[in-house]
Amino acid sequence: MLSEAQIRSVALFYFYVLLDENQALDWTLKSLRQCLKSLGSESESDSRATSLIVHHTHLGWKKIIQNKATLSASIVHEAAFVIPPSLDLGVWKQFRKDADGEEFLAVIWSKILGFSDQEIATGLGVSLGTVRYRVGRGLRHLGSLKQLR
Amino acid sequence: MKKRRKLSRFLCQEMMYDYVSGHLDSERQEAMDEYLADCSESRMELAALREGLTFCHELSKVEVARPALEQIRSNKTLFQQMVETMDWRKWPDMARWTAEAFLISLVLALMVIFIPWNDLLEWSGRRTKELVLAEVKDLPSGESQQVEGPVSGETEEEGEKSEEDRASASEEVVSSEPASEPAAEPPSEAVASPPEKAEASEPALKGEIYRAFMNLANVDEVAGSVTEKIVALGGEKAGEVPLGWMRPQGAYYHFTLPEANYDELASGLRGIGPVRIFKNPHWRVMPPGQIRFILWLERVEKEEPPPSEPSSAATDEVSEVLAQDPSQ
Repeated sequence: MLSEAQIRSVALFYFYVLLDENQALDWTLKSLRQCLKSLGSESESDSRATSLIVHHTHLGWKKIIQNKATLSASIVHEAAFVIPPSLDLGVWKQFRKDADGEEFLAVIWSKILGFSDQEIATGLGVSLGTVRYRVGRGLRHLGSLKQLR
Repeated sequence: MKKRRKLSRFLCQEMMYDYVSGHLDSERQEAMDEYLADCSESRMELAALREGLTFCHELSKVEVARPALEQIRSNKTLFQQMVETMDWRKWPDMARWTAEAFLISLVLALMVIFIPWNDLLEWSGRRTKELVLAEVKDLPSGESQQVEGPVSGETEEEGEKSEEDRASASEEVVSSEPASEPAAEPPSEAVASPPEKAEASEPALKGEIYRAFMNLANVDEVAGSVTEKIVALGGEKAGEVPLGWMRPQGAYYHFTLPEANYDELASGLRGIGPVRIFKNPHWRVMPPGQIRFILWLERVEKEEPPPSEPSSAATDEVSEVLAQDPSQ
């Protein structure tokens, strides 16, 4: 079973990817089903479960970007996701539009959802250095966009 | 003392995230500090990275509303909901055992009904011997009445032909008549059936037929006189062949005769030689005062002693199988 924090992470991942409440919930359910199927009845460690979340959300992302209309028609609602009033999502939207996909995802997993680099690396099947490289580049890109604002 | 390697801008960019997150060793950390002090562009990139980290920290404050989270947690597919509802492990023991018993009974019943056991047993060679007594095919009642009714037309012709064919084929004498004539085919087809079964589907044997047999060495000589005698007594040919139809084995007569002249014919034949006359039940009913007669003169070798002259009782042996009632 997945913990509440892990379920929340999946929901937030799709919120930041799609910026659309309804679609985020739909994709969250899809990915959670896949995660539960992969987990089976065995009780896995949190680290293993997190890696599975990374894996399945990455697959979900690939499916989403195949349908570009989904991203372009994104609308933010605030009923299901509580967004702080001071938060400017315009920067994030720009970052989502401009950034490399893998760097974009690495920032979400590592710096927003708080997954460890090792869990991300395991979930994606890449090296630890690759994950850190993507996160560093993504952060510099995001920070520069923020500075421009 | 080992000379420290000076960092390039590329290396500084590559190590900047590790520098901020504290993953560099002290030597690299110092090298980065020295390089950043001299490179304003790298310092701007470092500031952007830290800005990004700060922004991510703000983004991480976004929360999923409790109702949405509950909705996600409770959302299950229809199949999952059915599985949870039908989970038999949660049932009471009594209900569970009842359901299992019912399921087993249902499976057994379906097996008994739908599995072709006869074919399987036959295939495995364990099937008990089974004899088909009769296969009865119903025909319209009109045909049955036609068979039982007076002799006429095509039916009679076929019957006669059958008799004649039999006479020409062999000298075999058959004393039971019904099964030999096609016209006597019952309205039902009986296959390998016992007599009682067959009789049940055949027409009633209400008529009679006389069959006479004579073994003679001089068939060719007496055949003509026998024909004349029959004609003189009012006999008329009943089949397609003429009276005294000559065959290699003998002469064949199939005729009708006034019943009143039967004794005279019998005595006339007796005057020619020993004669055996049988009276058999037959499905064909002759008009009142008429009888139907089949006479076969068997040709025998001259050297052979003639059959012992039958006594009057034996000669006149008339095996009147008065089986008017087939059940007798």
